[in-house]
Amino acid sequence: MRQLTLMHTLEFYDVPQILTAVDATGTHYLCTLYAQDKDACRYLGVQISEPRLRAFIGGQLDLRSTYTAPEVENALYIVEARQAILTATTLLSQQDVTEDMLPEHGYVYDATDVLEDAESQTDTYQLEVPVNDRMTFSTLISRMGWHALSLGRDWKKMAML
Amino acid sequence: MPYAHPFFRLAQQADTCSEQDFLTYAEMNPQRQWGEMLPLAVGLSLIDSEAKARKNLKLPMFRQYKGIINLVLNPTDGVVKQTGAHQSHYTWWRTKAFEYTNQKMLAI
Repeated sequence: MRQLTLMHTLEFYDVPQILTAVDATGTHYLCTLYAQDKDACRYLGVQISEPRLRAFIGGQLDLRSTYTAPEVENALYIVEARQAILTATTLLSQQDVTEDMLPEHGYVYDATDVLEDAESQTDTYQLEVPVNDRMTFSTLISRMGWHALSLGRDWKKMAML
Repeated sequence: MPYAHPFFRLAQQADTCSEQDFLTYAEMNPQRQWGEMLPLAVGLSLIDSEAKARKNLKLPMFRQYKGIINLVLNPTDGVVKQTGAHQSHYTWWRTKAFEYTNQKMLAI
């Protein structure tokens, strides 16, 4: 079991339906609600790289495909939300994932109606980071629950925290 | 609240809505500790975009749902407020005066 930190609620309907989270190593998870009972909400979570997560948020990737074609093996988890604590509880194989846990084809995220206020809840900083500290910097910001949008492009100079 | 503002809510059945469609998560799970999510847990989500409502039917929790309710609320039905990051999402804190019968259903 590993505890996750909630990053963003991407889709809310009565309760969060799609959310992103990060673990202590900085690995991102995209989680979609598939079941709930009196104690917990259960999400199908997939470990996902930042570029792929950005592609999903940018509307370039079908939600279903993030689960049916994960980037690496052993990337699928049951993630439980219990009293505001997110935990990846169970590693799943592709065969463990049943149809009722998956979204249908055609759910493409649409950020066009996201309010500006929601976007502006982050502050933007420019940081000078030595290239030798690239990995340390990446790990540090992930552990803090911050987000480096520009990683991979010009990330040695700038990060959006 | 604008009287004529159309809202959409997902329904379990195609032709008619039931009381189940208007239960909040807090009502369904009275033992759960909701913490800071309590104000939203005691409300109901509404969407003011039919297309967005239809898209949500593709999510796992709603794949068994068969209908969309087209709601036009009266002032006595409660309070509605835009909530969350998406402009199309609203939370409705309904009153007991709300009558769920005779709501317009949309085919899916």
